[in-house]
Amino acid sequence: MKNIILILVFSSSLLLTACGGGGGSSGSVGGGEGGPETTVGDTSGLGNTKPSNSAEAARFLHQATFGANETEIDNLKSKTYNQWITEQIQKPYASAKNYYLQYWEAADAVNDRGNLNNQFFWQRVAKGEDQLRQRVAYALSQIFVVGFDFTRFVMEGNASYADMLAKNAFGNFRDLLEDVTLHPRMGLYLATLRNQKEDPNTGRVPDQNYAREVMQLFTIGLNELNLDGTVKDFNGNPKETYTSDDIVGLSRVFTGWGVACKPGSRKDYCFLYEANREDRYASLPMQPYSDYHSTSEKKFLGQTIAAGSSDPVADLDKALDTLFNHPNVGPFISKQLIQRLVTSNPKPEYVKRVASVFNNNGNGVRGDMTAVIRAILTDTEARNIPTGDDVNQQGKVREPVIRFANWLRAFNVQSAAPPSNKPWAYYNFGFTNEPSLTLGQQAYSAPSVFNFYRPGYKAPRSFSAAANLVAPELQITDEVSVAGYANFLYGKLNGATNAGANLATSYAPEFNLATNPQALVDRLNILLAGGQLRQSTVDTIVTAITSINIPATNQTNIDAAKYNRVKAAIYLVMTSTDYLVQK
Amino acid sequence: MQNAKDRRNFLKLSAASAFGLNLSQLSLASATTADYKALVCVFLSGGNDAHNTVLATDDDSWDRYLAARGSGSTDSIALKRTSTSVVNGSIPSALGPVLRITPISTTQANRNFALHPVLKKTQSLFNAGKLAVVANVGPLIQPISKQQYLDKSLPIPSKLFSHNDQQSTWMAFSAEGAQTGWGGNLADVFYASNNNSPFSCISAGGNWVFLSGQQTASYRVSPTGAIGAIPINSMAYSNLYGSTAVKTAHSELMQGSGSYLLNHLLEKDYAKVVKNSVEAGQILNSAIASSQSAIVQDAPPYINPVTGAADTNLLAAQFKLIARIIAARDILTVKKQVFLVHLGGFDNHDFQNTEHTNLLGKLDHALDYFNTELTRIGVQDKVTTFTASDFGRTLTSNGDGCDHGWGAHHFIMGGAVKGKDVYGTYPIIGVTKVDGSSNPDAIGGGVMIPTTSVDQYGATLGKWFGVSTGLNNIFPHLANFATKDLGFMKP
Repeated sequence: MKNIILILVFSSSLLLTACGGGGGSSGSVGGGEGGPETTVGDTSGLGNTKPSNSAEAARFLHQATFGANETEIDNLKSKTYNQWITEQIQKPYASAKNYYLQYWEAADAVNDRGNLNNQFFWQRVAKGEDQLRQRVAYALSQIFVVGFDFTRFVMEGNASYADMLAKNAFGNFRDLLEDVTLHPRMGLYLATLRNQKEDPNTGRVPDQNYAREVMQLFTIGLNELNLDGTVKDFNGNPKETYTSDDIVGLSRVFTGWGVACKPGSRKDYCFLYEANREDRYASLPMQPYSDYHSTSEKKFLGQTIAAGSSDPVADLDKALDTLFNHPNVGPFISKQLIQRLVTSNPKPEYVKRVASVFNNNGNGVRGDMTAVIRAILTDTEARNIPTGDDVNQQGKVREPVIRFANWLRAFNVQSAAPPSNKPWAYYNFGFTNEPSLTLGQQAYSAPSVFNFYRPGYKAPRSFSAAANLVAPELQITDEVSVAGYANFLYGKLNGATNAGANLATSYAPEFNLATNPQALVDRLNILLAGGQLRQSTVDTIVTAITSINIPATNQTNIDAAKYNRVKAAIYLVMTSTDYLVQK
Repeated sequence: MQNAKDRRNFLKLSAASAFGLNLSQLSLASATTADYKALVCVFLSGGNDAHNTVLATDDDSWDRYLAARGSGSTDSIALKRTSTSVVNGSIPSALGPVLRITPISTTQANRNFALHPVLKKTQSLFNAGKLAVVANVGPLIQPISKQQYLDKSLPIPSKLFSHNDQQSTWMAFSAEGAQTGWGGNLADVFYASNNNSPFSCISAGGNWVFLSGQQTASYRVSPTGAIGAIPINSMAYSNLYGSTAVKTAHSELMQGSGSYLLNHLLEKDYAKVVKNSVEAGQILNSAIASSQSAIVQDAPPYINPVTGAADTNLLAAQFKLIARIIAARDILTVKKQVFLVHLGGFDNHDFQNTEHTNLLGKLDHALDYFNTELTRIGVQDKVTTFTASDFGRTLTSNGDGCDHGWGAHHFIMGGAVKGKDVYGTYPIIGVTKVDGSSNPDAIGGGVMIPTTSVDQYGATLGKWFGVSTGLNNIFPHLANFATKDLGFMKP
């Protein structure tokens, strides 16, 4: 299985290759990209500037990657933001599925499969060079949510789903939407897989699950939106984008899709009975089975497919084209991506600028995700440090997963090579979704299709809600999870290993600054907080760690005290509210 | 044990309301130790399929049920009315017939009812008078007929059939974004007499708007360990990295306390949660470590009725923690509490036969366990437990599951419940009526139009809880319904 090469053709326009060996080809480039020096999507012109110092570079990297480190800060400082983005787009992407297959084969060989979870996510967070792609894919995974379970039968599919998002991170939204729709993990999660036409004899009607959620969550949302993401006002009322009748009509479109059929199998058997949990089918796009496709009239969103249409592919194209071209998609998706990467409460003008790029990248292309990502990251509101009232309102609560990722990256924390009898013990942090002991969040494992939190969440009785601000991440911030996070971090910081990831770092650069607390905290401020810690926070931490006495003699004790200063400083930064809110 | 006269000694709240709620219209019972009462919401997220939870087994309804639920197909989700041989190991037949329940009243004339076959303990609780069914409850603005619904001549709650919005509507009477729920608003009435306790509203099952009031905040506890509140270990140590100054700085930087002041709104919000976690957590853990709480026993093992294998039942674990907290009520000095426990996974668009059966098995196991522990503590008639869910589901089958609906049947459990009865109005079941004509009680897919509103359901519970006037403020549509008290609680 190591050198598996799958070539899948499932739409007229799209050819996906998932190559073994880490992928030699560059990621697909969005429509309209002109070449390596492109600035498509950069509406502010700030993309053509270089960060003026390490703090600015780090602040950008905290928006565009899983966290800053010295190497990447130096790299970014040597070029413009646009050049860095282009460089990232062209990096070969680390395949989660390939990692998984190698891991599984090795684990199988020693008959110890260990604790299956999303190591494929963490190892690419920590080591993947295609950081922008992986970070965007992670953001997309919180829009196109599949709450994975972690049994053997779906693991390959999970990894494949993550790869699909990564591939499409710099593609076109229309392709992304189709790939999401036809991925068997999504098919299983929202019931398109094996969904059948109506049957008057049994009373069966098509499953409405995907028809509803693809509109509510993946494309257009519930209310008609202005280009700036605000809800359109119809005499003081919102106007809903669809009705129950639209869902009934659209549910008929999403019938007649099943697992990829084993060559030589009977098609009816394939559709009805082939085990979709087998890894063989976990990654291949669902295929059309016209016998099971509804031929009733299909009315949705002002479109009508006349009765008699028996082609699942043609109907799907029509439905996805309709959704893709709905004016809500630009603001709906752009705003959520801004929230994932930059700030919980983007100004309407910011949303409008990005949504306009979604609608037209400047070269007449709609849905150019590369341009959208560039627009988000180079926008004045992303690049300029907030001023005035925004100082106390802009930014977002860092996700628990991202906080831990920040630590892994900032200090080059490595998972030791696994022992040969435990090949699974590599960046395996166990399940991190339990809030009392771990992070209260696990990538690709949201509790429902509504993600870990909602983009419009306002915390009851909060200061932010009183100022009419949303704060999605506060939805998973509670008396239990704040303690779980602090304890988890403290354990990892102080060498608590688990069987799944023997973590180590030398903290060498920080250790060398231990006798200069100000320089040490200044460094952490840049690495962990993009230079956005307040002076009072820095001062408090400097004073605190200075109180850790470094003895005059005994090298062992001296070193221990210096490490204590380093760890204390990191812990104080990473549990301070100043760090926890990314600005 | 309930003395209505004791609770008629009302105390007017004079506090002018800075909030939307008109507090001056609220009154509360004078608090005495004997006045302890608690409401426990069992939230079944995803939208429980009420059609397979409480069934009408009279012939007309049953025939319509079978017709809609694919009784002719191999993976039919139709349950069996009578014992049949097991067909190809299929789950409906393997489970045996539905469990007959016979209401003591004749409110639902000429109807017969039953429960899902795994709800055996629920059936026993029903028969023992400890549990009642409230039929066809859902969010409504006012009573509405099918014709009025189709004509759009009367308003309906916005964003029907949408999970997140209907969860919010059930809990807080408006779509996602609502800031207070009726659990929290009921608790607000007693906030002062509860000494402004952080333990007025407690969730053992996640963060839900139901428990947020104008004054009362939802406090989250963890059911997975021996303690309910999770301490931040580093704040409990005498020093950090050998330094008390580091520990002090840590505490201040995470809570915005001492000389370290916060200005950013999101930071202030985070810090507030930390502060509550630290301060309330110590009190809670100490209370539930008491001898009062120690009498609470573990739940018996849970067996998945589909597989026959032992399975974890996190709902029972949540109930255990709630029982321990209730047992420690005097230590916590709370007289009124609202709790929420949560069981997810009810969005059974497919795999319904295996998944829904196991979920109802967990509900059955956990309800019976909780009732046992409340009885042991001696508060069985002071604690009322009720179910809630996003919505009911379609009657029609999509093959191996069903889709989003509106009205749904719910359970009320406790010693103060007038049990063994079916309240509200159980509708005609069916996509159509037997004669093929339109079913006046159902819209597309056999979705039930609610005949009882969440306002009525909640207000009946709220009245028992001790809120006698001002219910109209907490339940915004109650005034639109003639029946304010559904009668399922003892006076």
